Amino acid sequence: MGRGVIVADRVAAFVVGVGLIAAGAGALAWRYDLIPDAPARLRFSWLPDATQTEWWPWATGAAGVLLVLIGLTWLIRHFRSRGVGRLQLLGSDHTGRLTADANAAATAAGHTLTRTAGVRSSTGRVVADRGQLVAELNLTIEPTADLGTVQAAAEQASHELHRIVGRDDLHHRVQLHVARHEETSARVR
Amino acid sequence: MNNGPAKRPVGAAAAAPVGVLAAVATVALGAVGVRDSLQAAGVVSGPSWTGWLAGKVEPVQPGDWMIPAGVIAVVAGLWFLVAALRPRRVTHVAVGQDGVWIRRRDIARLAAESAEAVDSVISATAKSRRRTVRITVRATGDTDRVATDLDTTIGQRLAVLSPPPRIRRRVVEEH
Repeated sequence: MGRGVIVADRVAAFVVGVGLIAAGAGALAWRYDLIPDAPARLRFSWLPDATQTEWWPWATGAAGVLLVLIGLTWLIRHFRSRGVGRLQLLGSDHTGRLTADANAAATAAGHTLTRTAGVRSSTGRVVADRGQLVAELNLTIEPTADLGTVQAAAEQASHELHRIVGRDDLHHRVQLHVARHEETSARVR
Repeated sequence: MNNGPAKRPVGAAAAAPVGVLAAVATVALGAVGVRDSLQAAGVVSGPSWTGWLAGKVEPVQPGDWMIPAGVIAVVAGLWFLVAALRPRRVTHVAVGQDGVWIRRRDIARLAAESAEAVDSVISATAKSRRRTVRITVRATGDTDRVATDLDTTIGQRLAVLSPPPRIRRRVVEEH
């Protein structure tokens, strides 16, 4: 999810929340006669009349199409992948563009980490996250792994990835997952 | 170069499910509008849904139903407000200072594994909370010695975390 859709969700939750509180508190205050000069009843007699007018189907149609488009866009953005495909590299100019498969670079960086003692497996990808371009490495480590060793190797691999990709705006994040059980290799004697 | 660690990993926003529901409701509302427009054009048969709904709206006056409905609306509204304003949940703890992170449940796994390696410990379970790792072990022999060994072993193992967690341990003696 991008930052825009999170802001939209928060604004929607805020507006719905304020609306519900206002409606609920208003209903309670009306019921207990706490609102001075409150009308005895509310009439909406204009509403059935409006639905009989000539412009009503046009209005519902136009508003309906707009709402469907907004709703679908909003919904799709919740499930859109954060992944980034190819990255333009340093040295690109009007004569040509240098690009690299960002995910392949991140995967390779993760793969080198599997040579570190205690690192069982890795995955790597580049994602857009909260306004940053992030190389995200996920490592599964053994329960017996030495955290200090893994940390040093992960930092080294991240710096190497930055050097290879050469993009100023690339950031890195390495997330460690500890396997439930230590991997035991079967031996034939 | 401003290369550096990315922002810390966080969980999904509490407002995200509200957003999904609101998006679905928006699409549904729009579909009703489009359907009524098509109905007026003669493409769809049946009565107008918005016309039917408008006909059902009767003068609203104070009634007893407003008491439970009002309370429910206020409580639900407060929940929505909290979801809108709540920061995203912190899910990971830093390992060092350069963009390496670990989940709390994984810290607990490391702590439990370290505890099981301590002499005289039969079994160990661990839970990791915000800043504390709670560990319970079953052990034979000198429980004071086991407790000291646990502090040292787990403390050293997790020292690289930033900040290092507090360790609370309980040693249950097995007879």
